[in-house]
Amino acid sequence: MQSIVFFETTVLIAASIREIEHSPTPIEHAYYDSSKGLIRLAPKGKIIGIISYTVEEQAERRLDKALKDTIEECMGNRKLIDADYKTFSAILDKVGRNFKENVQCLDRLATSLEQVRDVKTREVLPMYGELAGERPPIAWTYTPPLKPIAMQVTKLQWERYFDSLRWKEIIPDEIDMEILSEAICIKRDRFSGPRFFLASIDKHFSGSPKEPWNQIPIKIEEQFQVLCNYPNEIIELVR
Amino acid sequence: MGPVFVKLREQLDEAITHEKISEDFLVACENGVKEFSSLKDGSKKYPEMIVSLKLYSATDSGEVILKNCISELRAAVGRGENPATLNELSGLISEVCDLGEEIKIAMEQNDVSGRLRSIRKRTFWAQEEAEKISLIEDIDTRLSLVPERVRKTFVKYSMQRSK
Repeated sequence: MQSIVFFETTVLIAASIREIEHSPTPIEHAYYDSSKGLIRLAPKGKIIGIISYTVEEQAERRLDKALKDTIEECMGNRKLIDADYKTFSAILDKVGRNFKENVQCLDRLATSLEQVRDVKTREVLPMYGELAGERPPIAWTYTPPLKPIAMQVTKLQWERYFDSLRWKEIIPDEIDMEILSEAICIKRDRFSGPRFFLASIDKHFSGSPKEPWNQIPIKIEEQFQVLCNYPNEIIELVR
Repeated sequence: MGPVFVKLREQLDEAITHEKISEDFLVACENGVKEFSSLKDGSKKYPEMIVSLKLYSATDSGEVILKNCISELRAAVGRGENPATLNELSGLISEVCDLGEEIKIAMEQNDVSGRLRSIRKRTFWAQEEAEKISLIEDIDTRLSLVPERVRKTFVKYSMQRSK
């Protein structure tokens, strides 16, 4: 059975950053080879590669932001002249075309916004909270119709809970939690059987050797049966 | 719709129908080049840097492709050639025409953000097709002219979110 690989933003970006194809010393993203290698398995039928609209949109935004930061660093306050437009549009076009080529290898699957939000607040955030050593108020576990009432009654506890999480490094940003929630919803709705990977080079998903970061992929697998890992590791696992 | 690109499309259709590269068609192409050049000037006025660059890339590509198509078409006329060159370039000119129309509408109707994705898609298609027939410099050649320092800076920033 083919494994399913959900590509997270960072891998999609890494697979798009290789600037001059045939140069002996290409300037490329440190994870270019493994990310691109994993994407290439999709058209070969070795994996089913998927993304969500959020992943695609975020990846494009982050690539745009990287270019904007580059322009600011390289140009300072100097106004762009025609030659600068040519320079920066060459980078923009190359990366944009690589990105388009990568996305074409993958299926973009839709998710229900309501379902994703529910998974994010009821399951994903408390999971990270637990790793950060914080427990959500009891109302978290209630189901409708009691949940809104319980949440209203425990409003103050909620605010304290969110405040306690806000500054914890281990908690991913809202968008990243939404992306993980999308992956979980896609797995539950469409791929309950096969192995389901989430390819990422972000330690909020794939972890790192340090405690409690090393617990993240273990916890995600245990709770959601989603195997978060770095692209090079996934290549080995699906071979 | 921008009348320049509407006129160009009409002339292109007529050229294909009659299998003839007429002077009117070449003039319509030249007007298209001028229109792209004017749109390119407009693209630099966009306050959002990335939007401005994307529009610049689209208008510059349209301008260069159309300009080089004119040279090819004129050379074909000079050779008294049958419509081989016209047939080879008609698909590309048609796409460039659509690209120009879309940019013009986007700018005139203040709807650049809503149409940017489609504009980018058309730009990439036109660039790739033009590169295949060596009508424009390929992207790697363009990129090789970018200073290494700039490229390295971009890679550095693109890796910032990978932790």
